[in-house]
Amino acid sequence: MNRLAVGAFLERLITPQILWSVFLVTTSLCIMATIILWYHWRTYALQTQTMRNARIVYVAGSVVFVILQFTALLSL
Amino acid sequence: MIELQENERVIKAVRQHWLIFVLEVLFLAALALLPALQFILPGVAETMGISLTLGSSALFLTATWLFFVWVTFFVVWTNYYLDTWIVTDKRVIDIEQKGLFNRSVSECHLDRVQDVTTEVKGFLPTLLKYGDVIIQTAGEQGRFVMRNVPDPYGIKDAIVQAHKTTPSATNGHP
Repeated sequence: MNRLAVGAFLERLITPQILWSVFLVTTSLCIMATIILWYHWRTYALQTQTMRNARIVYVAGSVVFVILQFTALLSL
Repeated sequence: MIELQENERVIKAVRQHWLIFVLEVLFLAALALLPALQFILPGVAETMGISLTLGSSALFLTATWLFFVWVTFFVVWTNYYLDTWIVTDKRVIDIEQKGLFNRSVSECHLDRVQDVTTEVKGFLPTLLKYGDVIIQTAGEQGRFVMRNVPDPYGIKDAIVQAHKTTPSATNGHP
């Protein structure tokens, strides 16, 4: 059977260099979004327990995702 | 943050009904589930003679996508959390947060309130008791609308009660 190897083609297209670039771009965007979110939370929101919890959850989740991305990149 | 005037008392601080936030979160949840297609699509494609296995870069792309959804969730939550109406015994303050770079704060003094209307339209608003509170004022702004707020009747009553204690309603006698 003449198989169309789309996966293999994509694998060749998505090189480690491209993935590292994606990683750098997304991480930079995330840092920018974090700064803006932090500014809003510090400036406009009442410093309630909900807000403190939201900050902790956001930072913890973001760190997990960055580590996951980094691990995936290293295992390429 | 809003500075209250001297002797000003907050009667109610309300956000939109939680259902509005949940509907947005459901959309994000659907987006978060998109990477699951990588487990379904290769099998389907295989039956059509197409090899669609992405290999190790799939984990990276999944993590990146979920990270994007994660940040978007917090942007949506921040919009919801900071979009507030505050009813005090002197005024109604509307803090409107539209995205991260669009924020407006407007207020209407209770002595300018002419009429307060409550609108609960539709099946879900009736069931979950949320709707709009429309404040007609004598000012330039004219209408002041609190959209999709929980307990609109309670808010309307609070505004009407507070309005009755304003100097203009009591002819200067508190």
